Amino acid sequence: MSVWRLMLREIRHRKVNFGLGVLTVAVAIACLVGAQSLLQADRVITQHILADRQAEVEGAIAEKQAEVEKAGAELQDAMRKHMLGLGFNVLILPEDQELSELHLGGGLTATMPESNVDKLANSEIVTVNHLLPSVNQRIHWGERDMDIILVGTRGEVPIMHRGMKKPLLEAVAPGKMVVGYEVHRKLGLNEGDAVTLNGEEFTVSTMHPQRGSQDDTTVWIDLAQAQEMLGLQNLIHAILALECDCAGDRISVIREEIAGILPGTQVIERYSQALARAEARGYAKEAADEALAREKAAGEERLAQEAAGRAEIEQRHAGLAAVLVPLVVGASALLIALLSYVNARQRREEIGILRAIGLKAGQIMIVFLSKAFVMGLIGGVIGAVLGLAILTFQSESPLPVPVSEIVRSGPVTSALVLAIVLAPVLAGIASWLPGLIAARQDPAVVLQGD
Amino acid sequence: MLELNDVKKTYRGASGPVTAMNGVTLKLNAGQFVAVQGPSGCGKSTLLLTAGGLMHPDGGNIRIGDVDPYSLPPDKRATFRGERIGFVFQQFHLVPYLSVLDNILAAALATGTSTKDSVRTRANQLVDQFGLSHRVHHVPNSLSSGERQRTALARALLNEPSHLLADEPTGNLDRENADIVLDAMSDFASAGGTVLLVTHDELAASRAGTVLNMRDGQIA
Ligand SMILES: Nc1ncnc2c1ncn2[C@@H]1O[C@H](COP(=O)(O)OP(=O)(O)O)[C@@H](O)[C@H]1O
Ligand SMILES: [Mg+2]
Repeated sequence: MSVWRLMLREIRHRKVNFGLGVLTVAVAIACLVGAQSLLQADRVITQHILADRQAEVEGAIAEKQAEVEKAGAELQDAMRKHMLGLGFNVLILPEDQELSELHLGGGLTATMPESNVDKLANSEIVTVNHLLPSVNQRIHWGERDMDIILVGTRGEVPIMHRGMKKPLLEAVAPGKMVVGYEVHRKLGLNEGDAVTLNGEEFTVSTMHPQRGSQDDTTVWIDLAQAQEMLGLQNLIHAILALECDCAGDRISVIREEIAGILPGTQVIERYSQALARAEARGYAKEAADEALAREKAAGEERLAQEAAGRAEIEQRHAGLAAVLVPLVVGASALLIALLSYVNARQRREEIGILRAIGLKAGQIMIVFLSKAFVMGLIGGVIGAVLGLAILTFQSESPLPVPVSEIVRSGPVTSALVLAIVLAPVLAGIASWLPGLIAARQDPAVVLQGD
Repeated sequence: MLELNDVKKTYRGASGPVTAMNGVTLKLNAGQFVAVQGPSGCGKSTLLLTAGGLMHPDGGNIRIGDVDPYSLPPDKRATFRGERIGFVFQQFHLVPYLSVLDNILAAALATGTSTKDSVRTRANQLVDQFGLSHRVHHVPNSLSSGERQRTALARALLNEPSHLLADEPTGNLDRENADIVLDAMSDFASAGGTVLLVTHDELAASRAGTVLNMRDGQIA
């Protein structure tokens, strides 16, 4: 015999009371562990979702970044190829050239000696970087029955005092022909085709894409051949001066300098298509930059929204748990106290006699508290298992991580430990007062009935 | 030795105070078997509980051996009861979920000797002595009244007390079992113990060495 045995026998004798107590503890602990592990599952799910979104957003941004970089690279390339420096272009024409002719038809009639270009090239000119002499005349292509602008060009003439530079524009080789978009489209030309232009043989070497300008109806050939065909030997219509750069009122400075070298010429500023294209690309890059910024902002927004959404869910769950858990635990404690009190009432007689035959109040208390402890321990373990089962069978979408991972994570493990420690303590506290009342009861009262 | 000196007890009943003992003086020496006989309600149970250290009297004093049990703090008094007094009641008051043997051994929980071999041996001796061998693992409600009272008697004797106090121990028993219980009480007195029996039953009282009559809270 021992107090322990006394307790176990009593538990066996009043199974229902004990079973209800265990069940009550189990419900409280299941609620506690369930809530704790669901909240932890929330956190783990949030981490997963946000990490996924982050990766998506980063991917989208990286894509945009690549686009922007590509746009930037294209721009640079375009600058190198087409844009003629950061300066601007001027056209040097004979003084008597009607400008309306240039604007109306693209062809020119007034000429000047080709030597002008050499004069310029050999001069100490500083405002101009590249020189391109040309003949430009509107002609009828007899064989093809089409009006075109024929441009003869010999490519860039190096400016002597600056040394050779990489030419900005390629010359057209003798016997070769570069054709504008409308020309090759209308005539059905292909690269490598042999064509005859007013009796002269050419091979199509390059076909330009559509530019939406005079260039589309232009055919470029070697300057010397063009001069020959047009009967303009050693004469040119214009010199295109590229990458002019100077400070201040640019055009007047250039005009002054060129007039000093080549009297009898006029200088007009030419809008550069290359520049326009560069500008367009600049816009494209700007647009891409903006898109990138937008993408970043949108990504951040999406992340923030997702995080806010998850935070709201978590908060709702936490709020619910904050109300539900204390409620259930409190109600359980009350119920355990009640069950304990009922038990103490049932035991009045036996406790009375045990006190009469000499057991101390403390021994009676130990019987009660150790029973509560056993009840709490069993209920705690069952409750913990039930709580984890809630997590496993929760109706929401399947967890993105195994339950074991959530269980292993700090908060749940400590909740489990806490629950299993807490349950006996809780049951003990709830049984304390009824136990005390039972232990303090006057044994004489039950023995007097005889 | 058991001594009561001018002991008084008044209950605060629902319809006013009830005086159960009105100056009881009584002395039992070791080896004496004294019966207090009287009609129902004359204060016998009150006398027994007060004498047994279970109920504070309102006046007078009590000595068990050379100790006033009410001068002891509650836990010491409980242990004192466990060591020095055996109780037997009409209603047996066995613990319903303990076997016969465990009910007997429960008395040793008071003295902290419940797991000692010597105590177990004594418990088994008592089981044999009161003819309970075939019932040793039974719980009280599968026993007859006689078996229950014999179990209670064995519990009362386990710690080898110096005093045995019995309140109507034969009230629920047939003649044969009543004799077993009364014989055991005589034997206890013969062995030097002090026995106080309170009963309204003349036949039971007649087995005592001394019979005192009680009327309205006083020994006549
Ligand atoms: N707890 C109590 N409260 C009030 N009156 C009581 C109480 N216990 C006993 N009495 C009364 O005290 C008197 C003596 O009772 P008791 O000692 O039980 O007598 P007996 O055992 O001789 O029948 C009776 O009148 C009884 O009604
Ligand atoms: Mg009575």
